[in-house]
Amino acid sequence: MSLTAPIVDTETVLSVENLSVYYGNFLALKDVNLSIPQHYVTAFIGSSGCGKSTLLRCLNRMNELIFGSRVLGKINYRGTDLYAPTVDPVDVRRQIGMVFQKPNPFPKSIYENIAYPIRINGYQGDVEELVEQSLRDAALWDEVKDKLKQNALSLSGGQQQRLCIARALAIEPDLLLMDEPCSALDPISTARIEELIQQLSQQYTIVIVTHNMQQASRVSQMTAFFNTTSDEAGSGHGYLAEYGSTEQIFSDPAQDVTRDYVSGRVG
Amino acid sequence: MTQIEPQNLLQDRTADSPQFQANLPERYRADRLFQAAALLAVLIALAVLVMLLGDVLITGWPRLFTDFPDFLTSFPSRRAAQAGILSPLVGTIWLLVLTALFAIPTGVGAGIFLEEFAANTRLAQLIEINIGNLAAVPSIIYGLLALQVFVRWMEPITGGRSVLAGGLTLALLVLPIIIVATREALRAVPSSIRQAGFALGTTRWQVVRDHVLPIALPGILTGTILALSRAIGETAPLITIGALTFIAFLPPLSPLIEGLRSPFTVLPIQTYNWISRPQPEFQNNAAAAIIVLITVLLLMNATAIYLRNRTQQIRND
Amino acid sequence: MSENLAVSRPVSRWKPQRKLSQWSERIVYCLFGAFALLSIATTAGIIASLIVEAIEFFKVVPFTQFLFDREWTPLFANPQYGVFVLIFATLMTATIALSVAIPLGILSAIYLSEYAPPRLRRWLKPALEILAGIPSVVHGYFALIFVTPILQALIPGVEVFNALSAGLVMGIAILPLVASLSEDAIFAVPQSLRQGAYALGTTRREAIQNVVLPGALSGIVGACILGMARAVGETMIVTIAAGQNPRPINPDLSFLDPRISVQTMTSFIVQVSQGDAPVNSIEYKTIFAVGMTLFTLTLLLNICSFWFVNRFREKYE
Repeated sequence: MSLTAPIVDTETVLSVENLSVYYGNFLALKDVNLSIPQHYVTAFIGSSGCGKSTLLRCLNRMNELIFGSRVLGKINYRGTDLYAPTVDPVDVRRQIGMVFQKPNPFPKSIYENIAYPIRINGYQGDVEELVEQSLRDAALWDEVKDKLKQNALSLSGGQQQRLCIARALAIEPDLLLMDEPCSALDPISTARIEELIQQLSQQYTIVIVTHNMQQASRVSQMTAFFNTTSDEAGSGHGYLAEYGSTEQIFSDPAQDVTRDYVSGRVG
Repeated sequence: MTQIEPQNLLQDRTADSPQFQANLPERYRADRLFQAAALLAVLIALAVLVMLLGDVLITGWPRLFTDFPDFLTSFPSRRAAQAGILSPLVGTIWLLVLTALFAIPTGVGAGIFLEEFAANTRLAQLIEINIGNLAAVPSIIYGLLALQVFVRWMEPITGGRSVLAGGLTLALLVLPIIIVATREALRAVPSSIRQAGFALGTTRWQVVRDHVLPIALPGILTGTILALSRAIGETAPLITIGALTFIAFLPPLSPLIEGLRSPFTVLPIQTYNWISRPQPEFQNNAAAAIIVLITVLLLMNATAIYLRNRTQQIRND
Repeated sequence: MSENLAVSRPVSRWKPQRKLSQWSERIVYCLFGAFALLSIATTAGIIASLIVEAIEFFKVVPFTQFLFDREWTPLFANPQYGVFVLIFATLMTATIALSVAIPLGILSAIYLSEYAPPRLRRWLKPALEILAGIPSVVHGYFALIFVTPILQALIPGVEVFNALSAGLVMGIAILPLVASLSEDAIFAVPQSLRQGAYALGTTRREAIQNVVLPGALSGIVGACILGMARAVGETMIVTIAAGQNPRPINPDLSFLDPRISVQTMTSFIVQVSQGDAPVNSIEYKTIFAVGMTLFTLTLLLNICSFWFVNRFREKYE
């Protein structure tokens, strides 16, 4: 049983220990243990309601914004307990960026969307330069360089999502979380974002939640498969079923549920 | 500097990017100030409400309850101690009933037409813009319209400065509010219900009457009650159509036409009249009349809010 | 289309009363349509009745005199008709009111939508609605009896009737309108934008100030303009608390002193209406000319608000 991560020859950015998440009295996710290696793309897969997005939101404390959510257990970020009372969620989110399911650019100009987090976080260098760099990193620069003053909402869905990625990259996050970033996009835009993720993985550590198994196998080096207990009708909770290298999960999974899922028999 | 751990968290990264200086303590100080200012604004509004109600209660309570219920059952008088609010109270009830009779059927009907029969047509858009404009027209302008139309042109019917003219004026004033409330309540009814009705071979009106209206009714009722409570608090348009302030008789109920064509006064106008007198005894009368007026309004508002919360709960379940 | 399909069935056990339902459909359509048109008729009636009398007025008083006279003394033997006397007084009280209502209203809206815990919010919103439902005659009483004595104690030279007290209380009176419209606009900003801001490491205030408020800006500005329209048309508070004292327009700007009594457009209309001016007298026509001016002003403000909301509204998908 490979419930813990296989030994990887890189530094661990973040490790999750015995994490359980409740919404009110509802147990959404139980007893998760895993660690995120640096400069890897880690994919969270599993069917709907298995808690993978919930876990993702715990990693930068975004779940606190959901009324009634409770987190038990520990998340270690480079030696610091993320949920220690002295740790500030604002600071956490500044280090651990996030891209959402649906593109959510601010209703401002393209330029302002990127410049805003740079300024608010007290960047000391040349803002314009960093905006350009972020847009280049997100492979959007060539498409928007002549219309930086235009409203971001005038971009296409795929462009908006890349803008959101650029916005997240602008503050040089240590870790980038992506919550099904392609689920609202067409296949061509999806392909471009996947390509982008692969490029970014050379510089950044990325965790991506996805419904699409081909996508997980294409972009990630590590894969965590989440499942739902189905003992009682309707009241099952999510848990981490298996975690390992993407190659191993897709070609030689240790568990039957994983095999069924990745081969498309379930979900 | 007292927050140690966040500093640590930051330091992990400062090696990578020395260029970001987030300066969180300062930003948090601004945060606390901002939140305090927002809370203060709400508290000021509430404090004024409390002071207003408190002042009125302290001033008016003795006058209202020393010879209870004389204050409610006497006519206005030149002598403050003997004056009461019988005729204004009855006048307010007359106007309330008349306004409801005129405004509810027309307002709800117009709302149904715009939402169910003519939704998204040019006409509906035009009327929508028009209603938006009417909502911003000062009530005293309605008074000028009523003075010209109901008091002068329709004098043979209304009898001039009469209860009937007053009811028509207030109905016109609250009509836009009722139309908007009706439309919002109808819009909240899921269209699957209408489709279910149509699929059974019923006409549009049957669908609306039998399926949509019953669901929308609490919402419509809420809006209607709020509109009527606005109507009975109105003073300005009734002054322009010439409601009197010294009425020592009640409009007769039979023959009804006689009652409809009688001159009248209402609580807000009697209050205004007493406020404008310099003697403090009349100020006490004004406060006592305000207590009665506000009690009626609060009861109506509470009913409306209760109805709305109940329907919201049902919808949330 | 109106073929009776049921007839073609072999066994005719279905006898729907199609004729009856078709007729009731048609009647309902026409009747409710007529009700809907009533709102257009109201607007038309307002404009027509104002214009008819205003034209009569300008036959006697030249338009230039109406605009350029320095004094407003229509009830004197040697009358002057400088309407800007009333307009300036109206704008002054409205400005005082807005300087209270806009900051407090917007901050309250922010507190209610962004900070208040749900349970507190459930109490605060009805409290604000009660404040909104208090009749203006009560606010006028509060201004004259409660606020003015306090102002007189604090500021030297405050008269019994003054623009300051009326303006301040009017600000409290329109605060709920500004607050609830602003809250609607803030509520309409999608949650995903707030999350986007938080994910970049912003504090709550920064998310509000830099993302939520700009997103809601058009609605908030619209709310403020509507508040302005309401303040300009407010009648009873200024009539009761600001008095009836039209100040001549002097170069020393003493007519803008908020400590003294003024006369607004609305309080002039009330003054004449109370005096029972005979129809066709010049006084009677004057109130329609002033009403016309007031209506034009509020209409312009309303168009501004409408234009602003539509021009700058962000379309979130």
